[in-house]
Amino acid sequence: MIEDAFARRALNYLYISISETVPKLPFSGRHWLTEVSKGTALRILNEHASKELFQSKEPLEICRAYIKLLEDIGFISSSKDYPIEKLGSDTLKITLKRTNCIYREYCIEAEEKGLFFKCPRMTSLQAVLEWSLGKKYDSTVDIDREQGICVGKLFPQKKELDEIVTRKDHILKIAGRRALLLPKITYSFILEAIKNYAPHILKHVLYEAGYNSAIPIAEKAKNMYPDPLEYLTILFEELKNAGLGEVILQSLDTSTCEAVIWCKDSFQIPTEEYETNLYRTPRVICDLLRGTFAAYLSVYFQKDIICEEMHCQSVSGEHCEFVSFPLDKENGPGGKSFDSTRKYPRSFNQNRDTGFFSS
Amino acid sequence: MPETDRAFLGVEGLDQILTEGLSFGSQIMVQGDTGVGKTVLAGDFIKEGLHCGDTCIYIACDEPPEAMRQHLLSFNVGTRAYEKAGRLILVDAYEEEQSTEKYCISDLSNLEKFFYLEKQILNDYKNKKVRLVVDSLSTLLTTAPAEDILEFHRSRLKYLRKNNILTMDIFVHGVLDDKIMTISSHLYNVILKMNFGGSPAHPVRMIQIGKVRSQRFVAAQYMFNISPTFGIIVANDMEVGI
Repeated sequence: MIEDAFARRALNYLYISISETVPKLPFSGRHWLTEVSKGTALRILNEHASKELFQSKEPLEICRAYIKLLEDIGFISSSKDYPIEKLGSDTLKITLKRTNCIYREYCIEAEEKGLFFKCPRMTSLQAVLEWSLGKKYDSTVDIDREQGICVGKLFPQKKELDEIVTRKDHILKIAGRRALLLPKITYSFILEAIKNYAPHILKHVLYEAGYNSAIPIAEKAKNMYPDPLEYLTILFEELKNAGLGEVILQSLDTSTCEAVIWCKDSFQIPTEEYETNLYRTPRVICDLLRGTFAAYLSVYFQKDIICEEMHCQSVSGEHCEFVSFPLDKENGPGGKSFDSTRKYPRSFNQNRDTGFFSS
Repeated sequence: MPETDRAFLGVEGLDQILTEGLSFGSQIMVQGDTGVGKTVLAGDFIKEGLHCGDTCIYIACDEPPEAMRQHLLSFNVGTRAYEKAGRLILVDAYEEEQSTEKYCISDLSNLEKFFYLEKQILNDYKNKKVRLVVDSLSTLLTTAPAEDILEFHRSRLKYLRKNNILTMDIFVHGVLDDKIMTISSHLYNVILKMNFGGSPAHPVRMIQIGKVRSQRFVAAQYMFNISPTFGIIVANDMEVGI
């Protein structure tokens, strides 16, 4: 098959297309991309593998057997292109010249366009190990662009990887709790009813609803992603996937637990502009997001964090700005302006800088 | 959302009465009994300003500024972000020389000095929508002669009006002579009177909002409550007298 340039190109186009399509779907995520690659590997196994080939309980032998199988069925030209070695007791290392990889077009285009990417070769090996050993595996790939070499690593999965939003049959769930997809107008009418009967509670309702509902989601994400940047990026991606707004972390100081967050096109803006006229004068209105961000940071830092919306797109500008602080810092006067401490603002198209591509 | 430069108090029941709101440059006199909720009203006014993008200056004369920070925090408003952004300026006119605040005013018996320092602070926020609260102005005026108080009021309010400062001056009931209060009240655009009503066994909080017209203060009276979370809640559909 490797000799068939058209088939190889079509395979790469297919992966590129999947990566381009997945972010357009509501509640989508990179996990499904891994599942697609794994599913492909399992079909190859079901079709071509005899169990004798995979009798060994050694991950190294299992992976080598699978690579040999790919060679035998003509999917790769030579298993020698995929040297696999043990790296410590339970980690495998696979080295490959990029020019020999049948997925290189996909890999390069995904990198250039900032698409979701998960190396199909590594995920197929994950699938084989899981199929043979009944144990979950994870993988990473480091790409040396200058040398044109990819170094993949396979290791037992420490934590269950999953999407925060999942759907099984007709039940949609967020962090394991049933979720609803409602038209925005329903939300707007809920707000309007609150405004009509108890306007003074409106902002509190939104803040606390955002805070309390975000806690279980934040706890799940924290279990999955211990790194603060990765944790927040995943949660912000979930907000984007759920249509609540495009959220970017502008700055995060883990030593002081202070953060500046931007949100473009918050869901609250059109709710206010077109439907309910909730307030008399222009003002910040994204209290639900304010509570949500406070919860995300409170869970991560294990202390009470309060978040304020300093600028709102509903008043002016292209985004809302949120600033958060730990409550224990609330005692005491303020100091320097934020503007003098903000160093590296990121724009809305620089998600890729957060390091996810190296997965 | 309406595009307007009008401002509101941040108390829903009162803002429904003030249908057109207030323009920047307006001055509000708040008079009230001790403990009736004047500082809570000031907190509502500041919270409203912060949410509308205004710069809020609070001069704390009767308690340290920390009391206002904690008060705003009970409304889910973290002050530190606004203080860092220069949108909330808490001025300590209580601790005087012992103050650890960034802004403080000492020697409160000297009205000229107070006015000068107040102008200095306001000068840093020119061309911004500023809300200024002095809580309470009557504390500053306690020992000053009547002529000085009136002159201070005239020149200060003129300056604030000219500079479009939306001002809320708080006066504790009974501290200043009634005559001075009456004359002073004519210099303000809006007067809010807060007092305890009802019977001694069942006191209720009452509030009036109005303007001085034809030498008489005319305003309907409403009952109100104070919620530690929501601030002042006025039952504006339960008018109790004119």
